[in-house]
Amino acid sequence: MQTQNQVSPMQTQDVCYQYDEDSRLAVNHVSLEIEKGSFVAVLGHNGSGKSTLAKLMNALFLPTEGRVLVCGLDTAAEEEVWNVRRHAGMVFQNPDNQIVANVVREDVAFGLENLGVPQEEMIPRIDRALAAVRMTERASFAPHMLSGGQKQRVAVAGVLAMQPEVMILDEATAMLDPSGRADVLNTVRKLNREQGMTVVWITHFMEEAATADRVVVLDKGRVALDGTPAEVFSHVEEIKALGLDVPPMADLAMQLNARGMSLPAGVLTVADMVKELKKALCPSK
Amino acid sequence: MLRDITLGQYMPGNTVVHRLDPRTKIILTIFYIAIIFCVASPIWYVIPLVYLLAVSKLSGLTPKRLLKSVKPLRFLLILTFVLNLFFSSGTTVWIQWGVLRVTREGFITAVHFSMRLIFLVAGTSILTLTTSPVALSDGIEMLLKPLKVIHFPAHELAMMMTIALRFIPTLIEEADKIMKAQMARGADFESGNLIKRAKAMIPLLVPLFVSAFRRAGDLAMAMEARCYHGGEGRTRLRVLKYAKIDLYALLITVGALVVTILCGMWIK
Repeated sequence: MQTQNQVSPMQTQDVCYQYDEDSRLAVNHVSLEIEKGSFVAVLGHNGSGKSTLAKLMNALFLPTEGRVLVCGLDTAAEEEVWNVRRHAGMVFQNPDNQIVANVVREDVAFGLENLGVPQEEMIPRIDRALAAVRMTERASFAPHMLSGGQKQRVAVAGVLAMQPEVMILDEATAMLDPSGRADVLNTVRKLNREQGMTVVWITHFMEEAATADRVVVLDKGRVALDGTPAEVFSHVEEIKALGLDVPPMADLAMQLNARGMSLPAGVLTVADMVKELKKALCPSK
Repeated sequence: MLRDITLGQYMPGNTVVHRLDPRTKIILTIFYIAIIFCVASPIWYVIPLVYLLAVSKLSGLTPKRLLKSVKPLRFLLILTFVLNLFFSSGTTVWIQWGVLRVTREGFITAVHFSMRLIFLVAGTSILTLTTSPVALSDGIEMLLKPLKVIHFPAHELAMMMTIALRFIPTLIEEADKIMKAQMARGADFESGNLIKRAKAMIPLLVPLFVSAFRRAGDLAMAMEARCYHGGEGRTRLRVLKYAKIDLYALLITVGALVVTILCGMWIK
């Protein structure tokens, strides 16, 4: 027997999912192993199967074929379903439709109440979760008084309080404004770095994927590309063919290389670009 | 414009009455209703009057505020009074005017029933004025819990109340948004007669309903993802605890009930 630490918190083995008997496979033979403590971005445009994959990871959907293992637990095993959902916490897209209680603090408590955690243990866990997403001051606010980004941070705290092994965010930033998006992404990145939280970040925003440890691009339910951001975004043409945008700097680097420069692959941010251009243009410095 | 609607009539505060356990307050309200119905003749309304004035003093709600909650019932009150005044049977005739006559007994009954209505509404409004909707739904859940043996869904009922309360502001906001979007495209919600205005609400209500159902589906999934599986094995963050003050309040109210019954037996 392996110990919990060595088992991948999230593993899909040749998973397929079909909504109806005669429809095409929404998820088509996907095999992924998510490493503990990593930040994995799953990219894809509408209908690529990324949300379906997210729901498969949480036993909300059960695979038509193949297996999904959360910390080694098969999601298809009925008696383990609450364990699976405790280990694989999920944040959804619409900030308004996932907050249950009338007060921030009590919403964070919702998952713990469901797990039957005793009250005296609940309080410190809620306080820690709220502190981690910087919502301590707003603990007694009503959810409708918060901004979209703040609501999503509350949802993250609600999952965090349950102490999951992996956190799945299913387009958690899709309905937010740019500042709210950055806010939620930074909060989750911080949890990943400081608490070693394994994160599956599902999105269609390229720039959010650029800072991930690993990028998986889905297309029509299949894994089209899989690797580090530098590797994945060097396939500029393929990404564009899938109907996705590449980060602007990767695009610029490709165009500059087409005109005779020789910038290395994996230039994704403005800072990287400046550094590489300095190196290329002023080699003496 | 729709955002100004306040939820219920709860007036936040930190008085003794506000701090009472919601379960106690519900039970006290039931005893209070019993007192009102045990009052045998109009003079004995002095007992609930003293009781109400004391609670009003303790809760910081002025008697004027309590009477305000009777206001919506004014037509019913007048009707009760008039009907009882003219149509009660009695022997001591005061005024005879065709078929209508006012008797002493009729007058006393009219006063009695009107008082009963006023005291009922004014007194029970204290419960909703001093208890937040959330506390109220907690109290109801805990009080109905023993009914679980006959499969009464106490937890489900309370959860439904909580979710309804949570989504009222969200849906109001959404209705406001849809309304503005329709108005921007020329919809008219404000002019015309009642039927015309009711018809104008259809393009508002249809999208609102559709979105409410979508929200319900999303929320159900989010709740399931957070391990919600009904009331079984569930613990609570907010735990209701009886204090000494709850006992005192209960004793005083039961005392008032006993006094009312005894007084009724003494002078009818």
